[in-house]
Amino acid sequence: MGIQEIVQILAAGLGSVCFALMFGVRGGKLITVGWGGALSWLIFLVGKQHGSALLGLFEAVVVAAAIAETEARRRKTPVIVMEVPLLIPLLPGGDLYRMMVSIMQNGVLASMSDIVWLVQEVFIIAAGIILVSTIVSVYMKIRQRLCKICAR
Amino acid sequence: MEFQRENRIIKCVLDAGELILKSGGEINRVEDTMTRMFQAYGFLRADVFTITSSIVVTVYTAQGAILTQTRRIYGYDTNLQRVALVNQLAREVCASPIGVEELECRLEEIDRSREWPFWFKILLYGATAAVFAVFYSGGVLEAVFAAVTGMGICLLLRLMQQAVSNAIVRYAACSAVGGLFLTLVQKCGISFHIDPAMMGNIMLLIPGLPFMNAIREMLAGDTMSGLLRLCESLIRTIAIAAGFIGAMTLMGGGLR
Repeated sequence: MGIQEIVQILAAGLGSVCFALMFGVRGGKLITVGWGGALSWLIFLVGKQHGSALLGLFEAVVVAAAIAETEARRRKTPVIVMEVPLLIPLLPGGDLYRMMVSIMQNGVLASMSDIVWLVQEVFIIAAGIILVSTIVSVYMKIRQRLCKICAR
Repeated sequence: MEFQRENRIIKCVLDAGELILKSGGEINRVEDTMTRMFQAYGFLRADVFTITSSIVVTVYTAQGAILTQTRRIYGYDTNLQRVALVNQLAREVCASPIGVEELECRLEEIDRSREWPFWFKILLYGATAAVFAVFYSGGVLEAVFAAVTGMGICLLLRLMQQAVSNAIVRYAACSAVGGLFLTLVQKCGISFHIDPAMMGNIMLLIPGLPFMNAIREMLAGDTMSGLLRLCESLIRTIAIAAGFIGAMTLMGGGLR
């Protein structure tokens, strides 16, 4: 891992914090958002090196969403307050730009691979969020049931 | 007047729902929070239906009356801290219902809690754009130009808030002006990589919140609202791209 990657990881954390501030989030949540954003980008980079970029993205989204869900429950705050800033660095803003440039320079048909790539990324992000959110809600339901049974 | 107290409670709870919705909360959070609050205030049954631009609620009072109120939601004003505050208030109300006057006061307090002073917001936009320019492997010069553009975009968004009612047009215009400014700077002979600076500013405009809300809403079964938000984020993305492509075409890039 070079200097560039480290700078990028730090920037991801800082970017998450900036977005959280933009959305009006304050206090201790900012710290969680900071390390969570940096960690998820680190996971993306590692995943990208050892497998495919899409797999890395999926893993990073799952980790970021898991951090958001657990931390939001711990702090008794809505999940989106944590989740949106945490996932911001993983959103494909750069690839959106690359796609636009490619469409401009090469036309729509020649940029099909860029367009499909962007759509894939969006679907992967959605899949990660859905997976984590479903697992958490199932877990909460089971825990509620168990608590009820134990209380009896 | 009959049902004065009940109507006031409904109005307050609608205020709470409106605050969550317009500050960026999900549909199912709005419906859930409102239903719980109605239950806490002793209504027998509460049917809340929400889409992105409207809230309808019908409650059954203990006296056997059925009351309905509707709220049209116009603008959005994203502030997730406000969602958290209303959520906190709703938890308190559900634990022990507070008086109507106090509820009104508390909601107004939350509504008035302005996020940041405008100068700070401008700096924040600049800093965010700069950070993401560095994130997309830009250097110092790219970060500086991204920051200047980001601050300009913040100013422009505020200026257009009154003049241009359509948010999509606002985003397209911001993207176009940002693109135009950066290409002009480059044409002036200052050599820097335009890509990271542009990407930093695209991150400012990218519809992250509507997209994530869309996913969560569809997952929760609110397919209609989810689709509306998905549509919104898609159109916004296209608007950003269109604004950018328009600016580049103007500066001699050109579509083929």
